[in-house]
Amino acid sequence: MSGPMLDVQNLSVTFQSDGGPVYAVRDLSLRLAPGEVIGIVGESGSGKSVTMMSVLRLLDTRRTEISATELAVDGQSLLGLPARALQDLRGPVVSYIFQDPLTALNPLLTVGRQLTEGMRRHAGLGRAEARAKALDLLRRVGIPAPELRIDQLPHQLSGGMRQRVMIAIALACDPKLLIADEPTTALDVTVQAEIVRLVQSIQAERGMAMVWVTHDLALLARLADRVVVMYAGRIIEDAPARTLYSSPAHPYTAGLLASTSRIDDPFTEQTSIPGMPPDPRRIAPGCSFAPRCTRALAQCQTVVPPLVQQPDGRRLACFNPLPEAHT
Amino acid sequence: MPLFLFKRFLQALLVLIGVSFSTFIVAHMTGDPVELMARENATLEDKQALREFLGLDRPLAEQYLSFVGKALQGDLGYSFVQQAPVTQLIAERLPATLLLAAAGFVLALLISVPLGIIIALKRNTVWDVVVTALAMIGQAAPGFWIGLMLVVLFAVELKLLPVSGYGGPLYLVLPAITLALQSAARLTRLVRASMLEVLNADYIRTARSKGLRERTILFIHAFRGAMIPVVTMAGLELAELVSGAFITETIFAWPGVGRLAVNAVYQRDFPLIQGVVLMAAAFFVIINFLVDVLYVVIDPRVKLK
Amino acid sequence: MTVPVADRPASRPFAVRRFFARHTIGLIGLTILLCAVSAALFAPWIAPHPPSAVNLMARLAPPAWVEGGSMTHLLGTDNLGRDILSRVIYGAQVSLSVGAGAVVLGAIIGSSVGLLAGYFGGWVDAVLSFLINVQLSFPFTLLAIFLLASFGGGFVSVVVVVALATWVNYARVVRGQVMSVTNQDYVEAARTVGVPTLRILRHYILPNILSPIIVVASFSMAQAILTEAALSFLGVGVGGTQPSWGMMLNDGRNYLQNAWWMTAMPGIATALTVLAGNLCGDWLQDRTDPRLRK
Repeated sequence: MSGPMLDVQNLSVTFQSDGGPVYAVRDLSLRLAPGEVIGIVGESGSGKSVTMMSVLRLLDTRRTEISATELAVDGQSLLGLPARALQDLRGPVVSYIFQDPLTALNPLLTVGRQLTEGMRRHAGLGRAEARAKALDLLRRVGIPAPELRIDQLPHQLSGGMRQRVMIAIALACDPKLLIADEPTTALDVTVQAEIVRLVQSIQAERGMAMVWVTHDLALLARLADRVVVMYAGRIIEDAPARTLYSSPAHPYTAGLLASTSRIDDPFTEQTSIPGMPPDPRRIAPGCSFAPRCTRALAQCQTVVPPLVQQPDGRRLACFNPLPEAHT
Repeated sequence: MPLFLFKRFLQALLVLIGVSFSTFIVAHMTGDPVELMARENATLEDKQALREFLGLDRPLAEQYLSFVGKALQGDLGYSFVQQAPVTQLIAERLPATLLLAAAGFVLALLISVPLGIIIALKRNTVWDVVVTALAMIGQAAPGFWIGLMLVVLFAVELKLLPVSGYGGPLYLVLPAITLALQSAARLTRLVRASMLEVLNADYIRTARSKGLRERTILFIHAFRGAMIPVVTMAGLELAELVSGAFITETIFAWPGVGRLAVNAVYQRDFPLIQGVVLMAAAFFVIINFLVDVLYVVIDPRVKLK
Repeated sequence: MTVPVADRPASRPFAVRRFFARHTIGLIGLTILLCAVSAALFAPWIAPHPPSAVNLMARLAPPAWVEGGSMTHLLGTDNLGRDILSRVIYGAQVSLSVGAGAVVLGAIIGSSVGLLAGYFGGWVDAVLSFLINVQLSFPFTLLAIFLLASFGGGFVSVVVVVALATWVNYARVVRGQVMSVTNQDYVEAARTVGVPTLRILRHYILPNILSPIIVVASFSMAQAILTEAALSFLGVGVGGTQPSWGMMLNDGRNYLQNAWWMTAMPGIATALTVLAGNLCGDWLQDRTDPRLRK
């Protein structure tokens, strides 16, 4: 298979709120190769989660308008795809790990029920087969005494265990693309690393494509082949991880990196980017980051910088990027 | 029995004691029963003898205990107006009231649960607006007035149903609808709100991300959670229905406990009123306890608390 | 060219949604309430006839738009030839004053109980919560009839009885609210440095419970009017010569066969006023409940 695993072209997502439309994602294009691991990073409200949710239309359709010129997963176009056909893709082709396992699991159904219903629906497994596979999965995600846990309810498990169950659910139908939406944000710091390592090892083992959505740039350094930086609903920089970390080109990326604490260099002063992210209800002309940007030009206030492919393999939306700073 | 239920059981018992005590006190404050019972030409000695016979000369606490003791044995006193034991009078009328309340309750649920779910799924459409508006009107209009208007329409104008009385199933239709409408209106809005809240929950999105069918999501994942507040409310509504039955029975000349009680009020038949109030309160408490039991069945989380 | 990902009707639901989400509900409620209040206040000037003027020549006249009706009696007349429109207008006086009286009394009792239970907690809370539970376990209609039949009817008794029915609403809401406010750090801090209890209640807690009380008051107003109508209907209401909606409903009951308007008109008046109270309550709740704010 040579085509992309995920192909998104000119995606726009608008929410209707009481205060008027919210432009959550604007004109976003993104491709993901089979087996590739990318990270999407940005502040809250930058549209990173919304982008991934909108791929399989997991957003409330009554309030959301999604449009795109192309939206395909594994070679199959999702444009205008009926809801029934879309259901067949959720699980076996694309699956999700959500942020807060406490709210993302149904409090009234047992772990087993929530784990097996996907397999029974998609793979047509019988009760016993599904249960056997569920036990295997629970074992794989490192849950002790799976025979006991499988009949328990989510609130009988600890936060880390719940997230392991969530991961098992996401893996239940052997997806080709796994989307992890801030899977560790709601967890204790000590548990976070274990969960990251677990997902990473499973990804390596299965070779599936993966998207990490996070606001933690430091985390992605170890995980992603490629990092996509989003700001105010747009991609502003998209580069191979090594390139991005060593020489960020967009001032915002540079700011993010500067504000990331580094274990190897505890003496560098942490700096945060001054100013606030823009209100997604109001679209100002020009680059959204311009009001906070120290390198902004007159042009930045009036024209939206297009996302342009650079010779070094990255895509960049900036009129006045940082000079190449090789270290 | 889980600890939670045991606690609720003790609570229910306490409430029953409180209810019986306040009924007793109110009845005590409403005047000297001897004055009501004694013949007009009774002498002071006669009255004193009657008072001693009834035990009214004993201390209040002792009277209360004997009242409770008798109530527990099924003796709620004697109605001098009707010349019959209160328990017997209530027992005679109870089936009619239970039939009416049960019919009203079932009807209220049959209307509200499907309707509430449908408009939750079709939220913000014309259907939602129309049904919500109707429910708001149903909540606002006095239930007995709607009943009277139904009588005008179906009994007087269309002559489809009997105006009032007790007999075949046709006689049940209007009283049951009258009784059910207000509960149905309240419950419909509750089901809608509860359903919407659950449908917005993260775990519904998870269910959707697994590619489950919409009906699986609706009935397995959403319905149970959405029904938890509804069960609580439905219990209260059932109690409310018994209250509502008092007026409904009066309108439709339905020979139940409610009509008995309303007539008892007009005839100042205090032992009977006291008996009915106590009975109804006991019913309330029992229903509330049963709701708690049902709660444990639907929501397994409660068991562990 | 950009195409939508899925077919979906876009604009219409939003319009309806906005219609519902904004102030429309409150405006409708307030408008009806204002009409009812003006009817009560200016009844002598608005009402076309004196409410108790008997006219045996015009008995059971139907409303103007029904065959046989006339413009002199817009909503028809009752069994004594009294003008129903005038009686409905005057009836607003009884309903609204009972409602207002019960709201004030119920709010005072209920808020005090809730405040004490929520602020002091412990055994005070246990005792008061028990009281609330006992009250909630009473079939209220019967209790009201029982009390009114025992102690006699009249305006004050009805107000007291209806207030007894509604105080629990305030008590529960205020108790919960006070508990959550009391646990806030700033109240804790004020307590620790020895700010007097009354001062804490007034300055820290009262401002936080005012809006829930107003919400409960709107709903309770509606409940009070409904209860008053039911009690008057059963003949244990305010009584006297002043017409009330419940009493008119009771009068109409015997004439269902030939004069439905006697029952319909006061019922509509009651329903509209109660609706107004509920609408205002809904609206205020949406506006003030932080959980519902988006």
